[in-house]
Amino acid sequence: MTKPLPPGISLEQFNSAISEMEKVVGKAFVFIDDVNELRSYRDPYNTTNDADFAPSAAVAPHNVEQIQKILAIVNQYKIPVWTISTGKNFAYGGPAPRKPGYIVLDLKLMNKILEVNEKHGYAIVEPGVSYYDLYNYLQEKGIKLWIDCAAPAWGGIVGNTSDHGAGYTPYGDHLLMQCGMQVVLADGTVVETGMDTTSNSKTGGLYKYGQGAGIDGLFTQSNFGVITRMGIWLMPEPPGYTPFMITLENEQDLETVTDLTLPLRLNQVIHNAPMTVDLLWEAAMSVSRREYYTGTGPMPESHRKKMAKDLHLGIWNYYAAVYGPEPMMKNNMELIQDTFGSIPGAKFHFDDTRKGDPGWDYRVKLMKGEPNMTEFSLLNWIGGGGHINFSPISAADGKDAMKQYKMIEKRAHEYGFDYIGEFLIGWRDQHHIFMLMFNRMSEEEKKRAHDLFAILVDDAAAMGYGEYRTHLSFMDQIANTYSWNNNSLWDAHHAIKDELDPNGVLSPGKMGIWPKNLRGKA
Amino acid sequence: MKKLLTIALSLLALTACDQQPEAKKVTESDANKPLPEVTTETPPATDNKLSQRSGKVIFELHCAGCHDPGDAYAATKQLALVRGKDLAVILQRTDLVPDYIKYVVRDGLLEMPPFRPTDINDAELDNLATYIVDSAKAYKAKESK
Repeated sequence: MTKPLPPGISLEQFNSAISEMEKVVGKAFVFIDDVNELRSYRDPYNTTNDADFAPSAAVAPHNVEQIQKILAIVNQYKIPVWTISTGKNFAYGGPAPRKPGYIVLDLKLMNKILEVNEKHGYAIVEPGVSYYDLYNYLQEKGIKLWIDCAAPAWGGIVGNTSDHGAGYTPYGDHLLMQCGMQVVLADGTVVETGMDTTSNSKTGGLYKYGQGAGIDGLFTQSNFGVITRMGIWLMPEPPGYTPFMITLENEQDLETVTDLTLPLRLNQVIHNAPMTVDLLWEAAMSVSRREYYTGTGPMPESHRKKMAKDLHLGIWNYYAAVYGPEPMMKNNMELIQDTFGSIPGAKFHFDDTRKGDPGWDYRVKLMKGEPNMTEFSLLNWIGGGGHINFSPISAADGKDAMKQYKMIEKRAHEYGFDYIGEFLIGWRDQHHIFMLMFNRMSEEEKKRAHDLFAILVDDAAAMGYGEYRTHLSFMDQIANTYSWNNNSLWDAHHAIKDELDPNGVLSPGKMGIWPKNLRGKA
Repeated sequence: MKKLLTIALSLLALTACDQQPEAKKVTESDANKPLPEVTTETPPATDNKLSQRSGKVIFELHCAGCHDPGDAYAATKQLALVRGKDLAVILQRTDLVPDYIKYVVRDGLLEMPPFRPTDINDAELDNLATYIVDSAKAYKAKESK
């Protein structure tokens, strides 16, 4: 493979830019060796080719001043940089850039926990801080605050929050819990949002809005600046915590359980985001597909039924928790048991009977913000690890959930893949995650997975659904589904992009937002 | 000409920053130093130090989540299924040599994604490989007693 270079840049210009960056961060923090260094910046789980997302280099600054200097260099040469924080955004592209030849701006080494305020319940962190890092810090210092982590907890606060990630405690809507950020704009200007921009502010981590336009959201799922610091609210450790699971016997129970959940969720009888998890996702925490089925195509019904029986799982498996003082939990649990007990065949499970089951144990950890990596067991389902997430939003409404599930299941089966999925009820919506697993050693299967994903985007759009987040390969296709009024939303994104980043150096193409020099050329 | 342009652009960027005194401020924190002032000097590259974490620290941070013994650990389960129980737990395997470990960490293997030099730098990768090999030797020595 010939070395990819930034678009429109000669090798001589590239070498010259690299040499200038080395002066800024030191040779040890600029990576240009394709074999020994840059292979680690690829997305191993893509549905096309590694070469489609191969960077030309990576540079790892240690502070804001170095970022400013790097941005001055890339503005001069008009070289695109692709910003990552912990780089663990797998299923959506990992650390890899949107196009070959970009230089990865790797913020992993900016990894300071700048402040933890136990009384008011927040932390201020740099982009390289992982969920494990923050959790370990709180544990070591004996600070009675919980984190809310992504399921694979090696990801980080800044990256996950700015990609609109979700978690499993009552603080699971990560962007809702974000408070204040520091951003470096393409021209090197440093901006702080919210209260932090007043002099001697003491409320930066407490109040999100300040005066004037709230612009924090502009820097999420976008490429308008480089986030270098973020405040995140942390939940005080509650006096009690009761996780529970309900196994449901019938496919159609998805409709009932969703409808019964909404009032409990909106009225905060259930404090966190309930998950309705399909049989295969749950089973994958304990077994691999080959232990039950070695044929091709989706696992047949008879094998699924046997597996459900062996593992004491439902066709759907519902997880949630209540938190607080004992009387409050008792009261809420009674309401919850009365409500869901009406579903025929629904069975409640608690720690006393379920402990030791890997599927139960990791949910119990997630719903109290204890980082773990158990969910990576999904990658064992067919082996080889290829996976990409199709993530449409649906209403927290039974009929809607069923409609979306049946649409995806039908297409998945038509293309020869298992439906492996879960629904997360946020507040009024559901994040529906379809985990499309494929054998990444088979070019034919990768292509089939890619084609399935593409048609799902179109099918979903035709039914009125949009995705909340996506893989590098599908950012443009999905951006085109957010097209009301002649793409006026994307025109607005592009107007901001052109104003803030006229040379188009920051993460071109992130979520389908392109600078003017590359627009329409992707 | 290019050099002049670089300097001019750098100065522009830096001037813009100098007009943002807030940028120098960080929130109240006991362990927190203010951000460095932006200067026109290029800092000596030695300011950025490579971390020197032990193999054990690296293992616990980056590997244990999937490779610890037990059913909750994805890689251990998969290795048990594909390679057999004796080869499931990497801290108990004497067939792994440092060069192989280092290659797999940087390149990934099947379900496992690669680790970047900013996750684990080259010296730390040496520490990690040594830690895995030594732990396995110690485990076998204890087993054979």
